[in-house]
Amino acid sequence: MNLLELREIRAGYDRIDVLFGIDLVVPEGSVVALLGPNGAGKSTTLRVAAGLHPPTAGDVLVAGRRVNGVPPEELARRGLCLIPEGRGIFPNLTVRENLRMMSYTGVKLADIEERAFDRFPRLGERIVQTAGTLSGGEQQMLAMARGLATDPALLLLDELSMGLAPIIVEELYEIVAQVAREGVSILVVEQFASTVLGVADYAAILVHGRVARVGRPAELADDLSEAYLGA
Amino acid sequence: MDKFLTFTIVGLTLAAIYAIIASGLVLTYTTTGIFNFAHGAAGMLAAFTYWQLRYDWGWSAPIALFVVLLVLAPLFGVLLETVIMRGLQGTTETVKLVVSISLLLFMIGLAQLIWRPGVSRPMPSFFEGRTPIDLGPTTITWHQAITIAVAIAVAIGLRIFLTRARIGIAMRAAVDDRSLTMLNGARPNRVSMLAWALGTSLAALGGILIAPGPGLEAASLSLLIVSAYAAAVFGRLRSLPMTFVGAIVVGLAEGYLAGYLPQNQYLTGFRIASPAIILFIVLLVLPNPRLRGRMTRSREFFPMPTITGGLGFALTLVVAAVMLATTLSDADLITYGRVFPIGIVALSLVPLAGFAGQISLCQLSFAGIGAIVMAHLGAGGDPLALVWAVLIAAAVGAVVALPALRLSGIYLALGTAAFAVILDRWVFNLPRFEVFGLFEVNLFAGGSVAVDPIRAFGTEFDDPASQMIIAAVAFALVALLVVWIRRGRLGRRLLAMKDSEAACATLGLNLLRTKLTVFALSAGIAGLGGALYATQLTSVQPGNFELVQSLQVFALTVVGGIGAVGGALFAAVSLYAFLPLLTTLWPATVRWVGLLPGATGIGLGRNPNGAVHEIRQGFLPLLAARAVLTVMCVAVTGAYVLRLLDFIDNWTFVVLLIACPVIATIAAGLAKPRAVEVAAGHGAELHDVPVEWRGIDRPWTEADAEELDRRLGLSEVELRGVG
Repeated sequence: MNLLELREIRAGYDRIDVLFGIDLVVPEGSVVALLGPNGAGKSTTLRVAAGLHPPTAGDVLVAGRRVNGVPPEELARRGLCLIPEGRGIFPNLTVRENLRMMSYTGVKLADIEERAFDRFPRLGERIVQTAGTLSGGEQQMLAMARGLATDPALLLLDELSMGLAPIIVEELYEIVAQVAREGVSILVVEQFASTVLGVADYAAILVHGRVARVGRPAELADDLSEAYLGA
Repeated sequence: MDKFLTFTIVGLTLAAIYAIIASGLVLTYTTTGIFNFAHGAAGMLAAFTYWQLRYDWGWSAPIALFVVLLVLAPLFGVLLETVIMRGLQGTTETVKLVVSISLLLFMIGLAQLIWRPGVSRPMPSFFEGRTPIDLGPTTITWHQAITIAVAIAVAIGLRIFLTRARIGIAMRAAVDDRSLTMLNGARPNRVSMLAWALGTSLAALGGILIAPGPGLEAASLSLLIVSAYAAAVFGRLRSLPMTFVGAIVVGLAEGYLAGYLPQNQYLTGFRIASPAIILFIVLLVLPNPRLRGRMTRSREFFPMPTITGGLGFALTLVVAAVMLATTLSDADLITYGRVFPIGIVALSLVPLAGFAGQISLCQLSFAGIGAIVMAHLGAGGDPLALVWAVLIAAAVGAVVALPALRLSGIYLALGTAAFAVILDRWVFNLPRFEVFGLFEVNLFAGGSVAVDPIRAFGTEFDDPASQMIIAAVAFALVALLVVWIRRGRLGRRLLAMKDSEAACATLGLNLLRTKLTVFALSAGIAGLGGALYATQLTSVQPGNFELVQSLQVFALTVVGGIGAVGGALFAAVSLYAFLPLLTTLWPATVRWVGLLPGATGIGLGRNPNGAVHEIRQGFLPLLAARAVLTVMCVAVTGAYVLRLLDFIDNWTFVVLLIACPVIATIAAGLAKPRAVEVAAGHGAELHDVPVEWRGIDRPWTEADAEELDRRLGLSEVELRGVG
């Protein structure tokens, strides 16, 4: 079954159209990478999928059910989790308070903490620290921990690597791969194409708001440079 | 020592009230990003309601308190959030400010409508009859003790609520990142609603506790709470602990001022204005955010005015003024003549707030300075006094600008509001005084001063008709000046500064000089307006130039469209022509009109470009249809001649004056489709869309591609090479 399906999605900001009919599926238990140059519409696609941005046309289906117009908090409660671009954390709350925000999805704080600290022991040492004072990598870990703590069925990751050292990016993607092995479906947007292609089952290349190519990572390696260089 | 302790307790009691009110303000500001100018007014309404229940209807205190604090106030807060504030997301700070200022005006109007001013409404403090608690060297009343205890309870309660309760944590989370809280499954709208409910309850609590001191008076009670704003600014509108510290500092300062300030005629006003003075100092002393590089994108869009358009506007206005001046009675002219001087004051906001994005809530104060100059230097009717009024007001404007340079947005609005209060509560009320024995300063002579009519070319312009024409001509000239500025170098710099100060600074623009220039210019224009206003009034007093009037003018100019001169005219016409007309036609509305300026401003969130923009769009077809325009001019002139010959009365004339443009616009609208067809035939339509919007505003064509290549200077060879 397809956990997420986008059909003919069009979307834009004010008068400027960004997406011109996106078709994309995330089969259950797979990792799909969404690649493409700046301004291609990758983040907008994720925001549409998470219900944060209303599409002007097309359908969003989660687990086979049409969810256009369902508010993002409702989607979150149904097991869809977006970790937004930048640091998806609340910098003025402590680590524990950040995790506690996740309890709106119906999971107990104790369970959330247990799962988070199992996966990211480093966070356990900083439980009362204000999140804004963590290092960049730790902040991204907290964002992931918060996302994963609820046991989501579908994880949407937007630019995990932003502003982080390559070695930390590698470390984070190892966790992504591990999460995928546990059966979570993942749609990941990334500029670090080579790193993410090592993890992904499928990849789609987005150019000018359209899906230019879809396929297995190996098949796409050549098209990729073309998409980025616009040649 | 006893005296010191007594006033410490007085100060701490004030501090407690300010802390309660300010924490409510901080709560709503942080969770929804709207600085609620009407927060104090909500407290004022609560105090009135409590008085109504407790003393007029004789309910018992606990029931009345329960109903006001836990039922009515939270409901009112939820109502404000859902009906008004929720629609303000994504609008500029100016629009948010105008909406909350309008809400303040509306609430004051509402209170005065329900509880007729001038009636004595004694509001005893809690446990008034009971013997004060003995603390050894001094005593503390039960009301004071309760107030302080309540503030401590609020502090502890809020602390626990915001760090222990999940919804409290969600409130703080919403401050950091609103959309992320949604992704977490929390409902931000519910969080905002709770914040407004809680905030309004806190305002209500503060209002009920403070009211027994100054007594129940709508406007002064709403503005008295300025001190609470100073406390909130202490916490930079974000930190609750610092807000409590700020409240203690401000409360104690006011307590000691009450105890130790010498009693004399120069300082009575100082005491009344002291909250504003403290707010002003706090704003200046606190570190402010440095230049922000972030470009604020908004829904506002002000088109560039044309010189011909400006000239047409000015000419139409002067002609209309002459027609009215020669037909209306003196009494009517005195009433409606005020449109033009107030219009000039509103015009002063256009370059400052409209172009440069610098919010000022003290334009009437600058007008007051112009009026004072006119009264003293213009004695005997010297027209040069007008020049002095402009220069001196401009100088004061520059002086105000110096500290204001550090402030922006909401802080600037608060700073200028504080300045206005300092002037109208203290400085304008000063009696005659000498400066180092060198010269004598006599502002409003401690009451009111007479203003002589202008005398020039051997005539004295002492009749309302000629004064109205003078003011209209002045308005037209200033409007042309503003149009000219907008089209010139200064206008470009002002708009650039509004969009990004950081970018301007990196381009080598001297921000300091630009801001000083625009503040001085704006104050000068306001000074001119004030001077002309003074000659019309023949006698002026501080009450003519109060903060509340500045707020009304500011709010309505923004409603009209602060980026264009038409917005200023809109504000003046609605305040000084429409409202008086309404009460003349239907005297029964006299008690309701107080609500109108506020109600209009509250509706602003829907159209940030202002009403004038839409009115202009409506008139565009008329300007294009020359034949209809000519017929209309002939019709208006005909009506004027008929009026002069006394064939028709004033009412018929005014109705015709309004009906002609309306009918003409409709007629032109009917003629329009044909005109468009003709234009399309010539291919003229293609070029009216700027290059960067082609393909967005209308479909992209081959011709556009060619033109784009041409404009970019790309040759055929290069194009082939890339392709």
